[in-house]
Amino acid sequence: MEKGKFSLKNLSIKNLSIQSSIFMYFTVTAIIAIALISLIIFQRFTNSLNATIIEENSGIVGQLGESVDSYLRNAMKVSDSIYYNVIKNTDISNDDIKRGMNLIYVNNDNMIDDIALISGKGELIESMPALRLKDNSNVLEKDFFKKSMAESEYINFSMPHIRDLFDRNESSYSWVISLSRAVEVTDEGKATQALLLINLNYMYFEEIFSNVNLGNGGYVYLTNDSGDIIWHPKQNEIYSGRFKEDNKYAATLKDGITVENLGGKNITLNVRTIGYTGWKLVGVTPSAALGVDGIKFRFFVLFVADLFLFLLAMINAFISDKISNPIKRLDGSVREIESGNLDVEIVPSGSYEVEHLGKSIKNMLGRIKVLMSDLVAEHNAKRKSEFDTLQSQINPHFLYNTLDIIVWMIENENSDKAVNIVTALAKFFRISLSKGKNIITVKDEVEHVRNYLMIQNMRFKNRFEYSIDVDEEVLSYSSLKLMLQPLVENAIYHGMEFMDGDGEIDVKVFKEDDSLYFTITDNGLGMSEDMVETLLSKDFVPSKKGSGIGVKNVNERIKLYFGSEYGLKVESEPDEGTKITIHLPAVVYGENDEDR
Amino acid sequence: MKTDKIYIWIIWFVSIILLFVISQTNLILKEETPRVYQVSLILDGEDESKYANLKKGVDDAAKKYNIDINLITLNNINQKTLIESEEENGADGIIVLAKNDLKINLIKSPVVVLKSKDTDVFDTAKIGSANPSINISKRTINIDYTDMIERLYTAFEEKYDGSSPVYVFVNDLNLAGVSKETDFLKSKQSSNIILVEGDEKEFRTAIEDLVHSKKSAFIFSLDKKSTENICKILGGSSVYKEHIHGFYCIGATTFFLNKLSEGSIDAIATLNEYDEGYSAVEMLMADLKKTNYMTNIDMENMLVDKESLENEDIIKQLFPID
Repeated sequence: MEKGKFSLKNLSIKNLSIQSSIFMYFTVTAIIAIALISLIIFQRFTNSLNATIIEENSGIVGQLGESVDSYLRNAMKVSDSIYYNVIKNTDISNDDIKRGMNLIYVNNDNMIDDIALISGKGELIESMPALRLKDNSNVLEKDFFKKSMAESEYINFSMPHIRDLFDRNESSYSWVISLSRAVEVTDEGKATQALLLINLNYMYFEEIFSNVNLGNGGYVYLTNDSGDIIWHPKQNEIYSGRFKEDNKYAATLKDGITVENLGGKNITLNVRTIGYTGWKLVGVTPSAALGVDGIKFRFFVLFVADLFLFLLAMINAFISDKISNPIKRLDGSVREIESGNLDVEIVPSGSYEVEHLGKSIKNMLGRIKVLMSDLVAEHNAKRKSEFDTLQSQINPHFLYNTLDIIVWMIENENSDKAVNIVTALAKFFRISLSKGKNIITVKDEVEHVRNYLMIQNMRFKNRFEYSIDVDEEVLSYSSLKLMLQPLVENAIYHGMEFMDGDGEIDVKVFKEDDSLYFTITDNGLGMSEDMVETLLSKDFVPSKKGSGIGVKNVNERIKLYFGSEYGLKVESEPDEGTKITIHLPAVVYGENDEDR
Repeated sequence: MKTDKIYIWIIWFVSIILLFVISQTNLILKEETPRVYQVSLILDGEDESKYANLKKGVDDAAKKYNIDINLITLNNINQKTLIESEEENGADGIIVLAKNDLKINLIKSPVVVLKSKDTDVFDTAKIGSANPSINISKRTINIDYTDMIERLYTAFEEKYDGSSPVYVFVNDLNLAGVSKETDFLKSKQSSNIILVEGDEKEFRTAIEDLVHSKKSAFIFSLDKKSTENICKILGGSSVYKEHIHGFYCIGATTFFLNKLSEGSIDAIATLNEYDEGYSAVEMLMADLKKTNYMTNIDMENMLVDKESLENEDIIKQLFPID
C-alpha cells in the first residue's frame, strides 16, 4: 500500500494495519455498547422521571380536587347553615334572619361576595351586605332562578358570570359563581318558596390554581361536566382566540391519567371529577423533559461524550499498540528477510501465538541459511567439477602423444593402424565433448573408454591387455560422461606402469536390480588402504599426461548428479591389483538427461 | 504517519477543553439570562382608569414576554416629547395611543402606535431621509373610527325621530378619530348637529339649556372623558334623562357598560381593548426580538347594546377576568 497517497481503496478494512483494525473494532464496539447502554439508561430514566412526575402531578391534582370539593362542600354547608339555622321556621320579617345571615357572611367573607334571599316573586327579601336589586333586573327570568325553583331538592352552582343582579360600584365589576337553592320561608305564618342565592368569590380559584406548577410548564384548569371552562390560567387568551385548549375533549375522559397526542405533542392529562357538581379538574403536563433546554447543557453533554470517547480511544490505542507492536516488529524482520538480509535478528515476543510465530520464523531462517549454504556449496562443487571436466575434455598432452604415435605410424608406413588411431581419437574427442552434455548413454561412455584403451594400448606397445564386457540391455542406460576413462587412466598410469605385457584391465558394465554397476579391475600394483583413502579424498591426478581428472572428481560428480548413495568403491591390495566399482542408478537414457 | 496521529490527539484534546470552556464558563458562550424589557405605554389622556381593559391586555402579554410596563398619562406634555424622553430614558420599546396631532419622526426604539385608521402619525418626510443605519419600526394598530360611528349611527337611526337635535359632545377634537366622527355626523345631520366641545361645565350648560327649552335631544359622545361627564350629569338628576331620547357613545369602560345595562346609554361602539393591548405588546416583542414580525392590525369594532350584554362572548371580551 503506497503511503501518503489517499484513495478509497486505502480505506478498506483489508488495507488497515493490525493496530488500526484492533483500535477501530475496539472503539466502534465500545461506542456502540456505550451508546446502547446510555440509550437504555436514558430511556429508563426518562420513563422513571415521567412516572414520578405523573405520580406527583396526580397527587397535586388530587389535592386540588379535594380543595375544590372541600370549597364547594363548605359553600353548601354555609347554605345549609343559612337555611336550616337562620331561615327555616323564622318569619322573614324577623330581624333574626338578618343577624343570622350577617354572622355567617362575616365568618365566610373570604369566600362569599354576597348572600341574598329572594322571594318566589323575584323580590329581594334580605341580603348581606345590604344590596339593592337593579331596577331592570328580571330575576324571575334568570336561569339560576328557574332552575333552582324547578329542582328544589338540589343546590345549583352556576358558571362564572359577572355579578350584575345588584347595584354595585359602577366603575368595577366582579366575577362570581352563584350557589342557588330553593328554600322554604315563612311569611306571616305562611310557608312560601323563596330562593337563597350565595355569590361565591371567583378569585378563590385564581388563588388556589394560579400558583400550581405541574412541572415542565404544566397547569390545571376547571370545567363543568360539559367541558365549558370555569377557570383556566389563560382564559382571557382563550376568549381572544390566542390560545386553544381541548377542554371539551378532556371533559369526556374518565378520572385518571391519560396520555394524549394533542397538537403534535405528547401530553399527560390528569382528570378528576369534583363530587357533587360533576366539574372536571384537568391537570395538563407536557411530556417530561430533563430540562435540556439551554444550549450550554447540550454543549455539556457533548463535552462528556467527547471526554469519554477520548479516554476510550486512548485506552484502545494503548491496548492495540501493546498487541500489535510485537507483530509489527516481526513483520519488519520478515520484510528484511524478504529483501535478502538473512542476518536480521528476530526477537520473539508478545502474546503466546505471536511469540511462537517469531520462534518458528527464526528457526526457519536458520534452516534457510543452512540450506542455502549447502546449495551454494553444492553449486560450487558442481561448477568446479564441471570446470574440471570441461578442462579435461581437451587434454593437450594426450592429444600430442597420440598424434606422435600417428605420425610415427605414418612414417613407418603403418597407415592402417594410423587410420585406426585417428578414428579412435576422433571418436574419443567426439564423445568427450558430447555437445556439452554431462549425461550420455552407457554405450557412448563404453565406446569412449574403449577408444581410449585402444589408443593407450598402442601407445604403451601392448604392455597390457584389456577387456570390456557390457550387458546389451544396459547400453541404453544413462551414464556420467568421463567416468570410466579417468579410472582406466588411473589403472594404466598407476597399475600398468611397471608391467611387462601381462597387465590386465577389465571393464565390466552390468545391471543389478535398479542399479547399474561399472567395474574397472586391474592386476596392477594395487594400493594400500591409505592410498585408497587418498585417492578418494584428494584431487589426486596420477599423471600430467592424463585427463587431469582425479578419482575423487569422478566420485564427487557421481554423487552430485545421482545422489550421495551412488559413487565409487575402491578395493585394492598392494601387489594384487585394484578394483573400482561405480554404482549408478539404472535409468534409461531420455531427453531430459541432456539437462543434467 | 505517527506525527499525523499526534496532531489528531492534540486536536481532539483541544476540542474537549473547548467544549468544557463553552459549557461550564461564560468565557465563550454567555447563556442568555431572561431579559426584562422596559416598555413605556403612553396614553392619550390623564385618566388611566378609562383604559383598564387595554391595560389588562398589555399586562397579560407583559407577563408572557417578561416585560416591565411603565404606564404614562399625558399631563400637559405632548406625546411626541414623551416618546422622545422615554427613548432617552432607555425604554426598549414604546406603545402609544396616538392623538391626531402626533407626528413621530426618527426613533431608534421600536414603537407601536394605536391610532385612527386613516391618520398617518409618522413624519414620512423626515423618515424618508433617515440614516439607513437607524432601524425605524412603523407598526400600527388601526382603529376604524369611521366604522364605529357608522355602526352607532345605524343604531341611532332606528330610534331617531328625524327632527330632534343631535348633540355631539367632544372633549378634544385632537383625540384619535374624533374629527372623522364629527365630520361623519355633520354629513348625516348637517342641520340638526350641535357640536359641544369642552368639559363637564360646557356639557352641563348644554344639557340644562335643553331642559330649560323643554326640548329633547339625541346625544353622541365621541370620547371617553365626554361620556363620563355626560353620565355624571345625567346621573345627577332624573330630569335630564327625560330629555335625552338616546345616548350613543364611542369607547367602553366598565362604568359605561354598567350605564348601558341600566339603560342610561343606548349603544356603545367599541372594540376589544384587551385584545388591542395584547396585540400591541406582541407586535412590539416581534420587533424587539427581530423575529416573527407581525403586519399592522386593523381592529374589529363591535356595537354593544343592552341585549348584547346577555351574550357570554361579548361579556368575556368586555369584562376580562383579572
